[in-house]
Amino acid sequence: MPSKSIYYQYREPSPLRLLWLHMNANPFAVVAFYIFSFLILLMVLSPVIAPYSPDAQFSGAISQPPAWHELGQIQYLFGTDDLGRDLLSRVLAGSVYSLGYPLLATTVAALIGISIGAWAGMSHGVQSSTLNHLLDVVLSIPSLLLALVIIAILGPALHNIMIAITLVLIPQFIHSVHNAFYEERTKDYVAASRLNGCSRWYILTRVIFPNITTVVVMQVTFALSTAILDIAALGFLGLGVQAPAPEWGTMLARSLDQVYLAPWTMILPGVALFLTVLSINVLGDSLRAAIQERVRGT
Amino acid sequence: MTSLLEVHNISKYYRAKNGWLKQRRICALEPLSFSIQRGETIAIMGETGSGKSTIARLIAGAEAPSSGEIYLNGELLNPHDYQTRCREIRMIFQDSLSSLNSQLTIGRQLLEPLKFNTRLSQAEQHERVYVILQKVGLLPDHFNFYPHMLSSGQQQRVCIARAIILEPQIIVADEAFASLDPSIRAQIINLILDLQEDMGISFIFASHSPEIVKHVADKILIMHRGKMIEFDSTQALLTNPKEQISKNLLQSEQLNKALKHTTTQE
Repeated sequence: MPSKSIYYQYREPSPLRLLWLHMNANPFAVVAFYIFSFLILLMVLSPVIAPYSPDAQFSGAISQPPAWHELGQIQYLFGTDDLGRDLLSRVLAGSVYSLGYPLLATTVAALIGISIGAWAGMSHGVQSSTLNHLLDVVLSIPSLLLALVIIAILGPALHNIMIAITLVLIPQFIHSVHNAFYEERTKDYVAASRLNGCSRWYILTRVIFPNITTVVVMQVTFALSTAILDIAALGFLGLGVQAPAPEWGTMLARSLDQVYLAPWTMILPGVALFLTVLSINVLGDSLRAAIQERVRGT
Repeated sequence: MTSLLEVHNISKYYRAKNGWLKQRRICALEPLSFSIQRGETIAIMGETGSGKSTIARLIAGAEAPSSGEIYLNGELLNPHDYQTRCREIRMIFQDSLSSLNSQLTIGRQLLEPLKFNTRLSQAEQHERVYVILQKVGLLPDHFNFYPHMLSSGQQQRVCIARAIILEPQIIVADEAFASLDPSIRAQIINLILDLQEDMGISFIFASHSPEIVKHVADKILIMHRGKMIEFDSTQALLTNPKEQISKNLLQSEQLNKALKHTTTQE
């Protein structure tokens, strides 16, 4: 490996900055990053920037086409639906349901799953396998089906779906983190840290954890796109977020019967959903590649 | 007078599982005992899989022995008490790159032992790391480097720095020189000899190379299939080896080659 850079007056970029440099070299990653940041920004600002309330009905503008259509009006940029509700406001407000809630579910699942997985990975024997297989029963049921079961018992509501999705995501986190830990634990650098007299907590958080970030990043992106699609699918089936709420899946389902009369009511939420999931997957994939590249060295 | 390190009947078995409930015990090291005086250099020689690395790892505490005890200055060492052990016995691993954490800077890794085993302040710890880096022939600037940015010789120096930073009494090296090219190997060995002279460290190392062993070791321990065959001073073993295996192992490579050469010519 070249060591010539030692004698240059050269500041080594921090790991995070190096990651950014690697990401920057990949145009798809950059585009995905900007799209995702833009979506997050829209989501956070949606109550402020939405021109109307998502439930406000304008009886004078029913099924108004988008503004770029010759019949469109500029005050309804994305047009209106069959009840005269502004579609732009609804898509913006819907991002909270379709992006914000999956983010929340993924964060909770990641926190619980990673801590249990790490605990299982650091322990031995029966304790380790008990923890590892704690929620395996849940894993045997597809996430949508489990959500359906929970909804069948508790009734359709947003928080029930959230519980179902979080529950399904946790064992996947446990498994991937446990396996990664198990693999790293026997390596020499961990033994070296153990021989340095480091505490278990230090080895867990500072020594092993930085080395399994690729696994965690991959799992988080996977979980996030699963959560988004699940919430949308349940909304589409009419079992998730209930009708007046502007959830993207629910909007798709409602616009199904007017797809020939007002195609924009279906296409616009669909495009929003598509862009969100695509940008998350591309971003996750390139982030993982960038981390691997950084580890391998420049 | 008690010796510095006393190894008492240590052995190591591994359990290999094949199928349900069936377990096979694989013996890596049969019970053996030896002792080491202060400032001595011991070489462990043997073929691949003869238990050299196992001895090194057991002494350093990287693995716990299946039976037997290790005494340091007459006191029993607990196999899982890393805190007391690491102040006195430090290990240099076989593969320097894999024994360094690729996600932490060199400096952070060298601070690790100081953080957990000394009561130095933050600034003193940093100062100590800078001093140690210079001692092993690196620059204080290397503090912020990641392991992959160094050459293999420099990586080995970092491992040596990590071993001596707590000023131990014993350093165990598990074939630490095998992967280095000859000139760097010579540098590293000289570095270790200098450090040994400066700090009065006892040095235990496993090695293949008879040249290094003859050059460095005071005593040689010959291993064969998990058994200790001979343990004597270098002088005695070179002039009068009792076993054929010791003779073969200690015969220098050049001589081997020369012999082969002559036989093929004939």
